[in-house]
Amino acid sequence: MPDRPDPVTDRLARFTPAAAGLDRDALLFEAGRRSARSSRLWPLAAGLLAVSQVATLVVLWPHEPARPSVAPVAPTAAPPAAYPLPPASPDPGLWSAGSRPDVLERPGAGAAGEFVSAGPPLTAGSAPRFD
Amino acid sequence: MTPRHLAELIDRHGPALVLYARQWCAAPEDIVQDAFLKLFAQRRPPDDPPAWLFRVVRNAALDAAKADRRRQRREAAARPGAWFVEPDIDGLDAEKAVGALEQLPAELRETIVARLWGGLAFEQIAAVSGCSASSAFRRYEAGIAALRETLGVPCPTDPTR
Repeated sequence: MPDRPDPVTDRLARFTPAAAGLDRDALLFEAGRRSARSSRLWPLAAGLLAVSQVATLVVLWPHEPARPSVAPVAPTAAPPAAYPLPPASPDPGLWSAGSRPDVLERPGAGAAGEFVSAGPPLTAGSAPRFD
Repeated sequence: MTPRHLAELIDRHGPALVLYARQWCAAPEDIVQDAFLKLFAQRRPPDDPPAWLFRVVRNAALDAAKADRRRQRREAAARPGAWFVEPDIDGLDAEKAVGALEQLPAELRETIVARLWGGLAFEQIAAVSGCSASSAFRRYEAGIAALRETLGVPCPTDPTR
């Protein structure tokens, strides 16, 4: 389907389309820029390095030594008056962990009994005696 | 696609593509630039790069026209079209030629622009426009006849005029 010679088409075809906004050099530059492969590796590495720097700074930052905290002393409770003694062993000859030391009262224990004071037992609240 | 090949395509088809896109949108240079960038980014270049470019420009220009038809009209009115570089050719005024082209139906004007300034064969125009080659030829003939009528140029093969 060849074109027939035509004065209209001949003259029209001689018009040059205006394309002032089409910059070939800028277009080639943009094409080259887009064809460059962008790697996401270096931003990731930079981010990791920044995080590690911050973490190192936090860990190695000089801290003040911790002062021992002085807690108020609560008043001590009064000690129990007396602890109940376990019952005496039913068999004086039988020793057990809870038996009273009544061995001094057994016959033949006079040598040890002479060291026992005749007065009331000495306790923490008793007044000193100098007699 | 090498940079040299791309530069040759820009030099040879860039202005015609701008004129082609100008039929539909008010910013044809952007459409054409995007088309060239898409072509350069293709892993496998198309078999017929000019036809590929015309098809991509056509689709993008139609999308742009649909997306912002109001802005297109405003911008087109703001800068009345410098479609051609020359003010006239052998007594044919450029503004008159543009006016005659604008009066054509879109499919006829598209075919004439692709043929006269794009240098596409009718088979290529058919592939771009989505019609048969014979339809493209008929559109071209009808468009030229309408231009001739509008511009008042008698048909050289018509002895009656």
